[in-house]
Amino acid sequence: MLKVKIKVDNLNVYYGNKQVIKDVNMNVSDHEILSIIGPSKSGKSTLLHVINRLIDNVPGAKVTGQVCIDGKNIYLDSVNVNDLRKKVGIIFATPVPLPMSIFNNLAYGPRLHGITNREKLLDIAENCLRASSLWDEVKSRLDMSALRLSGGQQQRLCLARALTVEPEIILFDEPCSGLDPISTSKVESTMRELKKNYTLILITNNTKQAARVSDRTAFFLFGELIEIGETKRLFTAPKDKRTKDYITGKFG
Amino acid sequence: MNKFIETIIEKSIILIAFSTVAVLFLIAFFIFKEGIPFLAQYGLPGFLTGSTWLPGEDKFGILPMIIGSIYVTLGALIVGVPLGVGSAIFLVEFANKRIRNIIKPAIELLAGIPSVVYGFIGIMVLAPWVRINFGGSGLSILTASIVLGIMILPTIISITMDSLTALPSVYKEGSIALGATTWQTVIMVLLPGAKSGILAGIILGMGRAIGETMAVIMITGNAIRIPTSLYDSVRTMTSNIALEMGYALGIHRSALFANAVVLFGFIMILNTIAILIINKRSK
Ligand SMILES: Nc1ncnc2c1ncn2[C@@H]1O[C@H](COP(=O)(O)OP(=O)(O)O)[C@@H](O)[C@H]1O
Ligand SMILES: [Mg+2]
Repeated sequence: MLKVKIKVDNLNVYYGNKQVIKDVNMNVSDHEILSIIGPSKSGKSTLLHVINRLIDNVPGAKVTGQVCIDGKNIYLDSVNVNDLRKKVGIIFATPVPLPMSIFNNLAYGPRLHGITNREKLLDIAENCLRASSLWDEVKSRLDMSALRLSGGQQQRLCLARALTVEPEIILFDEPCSGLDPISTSKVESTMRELKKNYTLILITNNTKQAARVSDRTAFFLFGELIEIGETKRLFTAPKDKRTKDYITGKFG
Repeated sequence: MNKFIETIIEKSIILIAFSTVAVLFLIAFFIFKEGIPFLAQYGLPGFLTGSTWLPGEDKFGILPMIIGSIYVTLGALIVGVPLGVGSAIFLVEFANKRIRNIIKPAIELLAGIPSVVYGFIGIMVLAPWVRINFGGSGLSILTASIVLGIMILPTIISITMDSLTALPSVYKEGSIALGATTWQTVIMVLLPGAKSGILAGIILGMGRAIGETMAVIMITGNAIRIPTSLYDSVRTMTSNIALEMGYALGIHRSALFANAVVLFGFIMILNTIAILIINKRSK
């Protein structure tokens, strides 16, 4: 059995009075890719925001239960959220390059954490761009504004940027929803490559994508975790009828 | 029929838009018509660099007034910009809604106070304080800088707030997600992102400070000399014109118009620089 990286126990999340995650229990292993599928508004994004505590910034949000990373409860007062977010990177559906040059986007994270030597920053930038297979496309124009890259390139830039702070876990929230098939397949192959060094969680509304890249898949429905298991098994022989209905397209 | 009315409305709006431009040109023309002949006769270099202004002896040097305007305006910016930008950051990024709803209208109210009231408070409250603590008459560059700094606050705060809130919220999210604190996000992402807007606010504030007349007349002391310290009294270009235009005749009167031409030139140069910077940034 693989080492457990993330452990979620009895997790409940409320926005005001509305409960959007209902008593979820699950584990994510080290170096696996876990897909999360399910209709929209099922609380998938909320779960990711719980794991890196971006949810702290949402007024009125309340989290109960436990989330442990490497066995440590991340909701203890002693945890430094900024260090946590460094350790747990996130990629959003819409790529969010900061309004600055490609290089400065990549240097941003390391600078926050105290690295100022330009040589070193360039080194980090190159490595991370290579890891997200963007290096060859941008190596000659690192000083160009990141906002001028194409959508697919911007998304890979965001991935590279998440890598610059040496995370251990990377969360992807529908990273390919706005991308063309070629960019999508580049991002997917990058994800498979990243698996060697990182733990990945991928929310996707594309069940084929989940099947292509992930080791295990979790199915969420209206805040509940209905089923979690090996991807192949879940898609070929779902245990729950609701899972079956969803993957065969019988849901709305 | 409806169509007809619409055409009339449309045409009159165009007319109104053009008439503002026409008024601007009229003003410029009027000032230049009176001022340029004087400059041609007296000589621009002598007018700009001369440090004695004695209309009775036909000596018209406005260097002290130019320096006065520059010092007072710079002083206003030194007081107003950090305070204004800081308040805007606080209100947008750190204050909760309740506090924002109290402070924002208060700041807007500040913009509606007539400048003579600012001048009055400057004389009654600030000038004595400066006199007691720093010496001099109290009517000084320092006093004027503080009062003008406060007068330009509403402009700087509201434009800075607007340009900060206009930034996509995802910038903040992206930065926070990399482990940045709110403060780091403000300094490294939001301020640079809103730079051109903030700059525009500062330039507008600067325009207000350099053009301000009433409050300045009341609190600078209006001495015609090149100041050597912050606590010295100065006269600005605007005060010079306002104080003397009432009784000036002949060549003296023309000299004041020439002074207005210089002021006009200053403001034009400032605005051009601002527009250039803003255009360059937004590219
Ligand atoms: N910031 C928020 N404030 C209030 N309600 C929210 C917020 N974000 C999401 N929700 C609600 O929580 C529910 C789950 O949303 P989300 O986690 O985004 O689901 P998914 O990613 O599966 O589409 C939805 O009903 C949504 O409207
Ligand atoms: Mg979502």
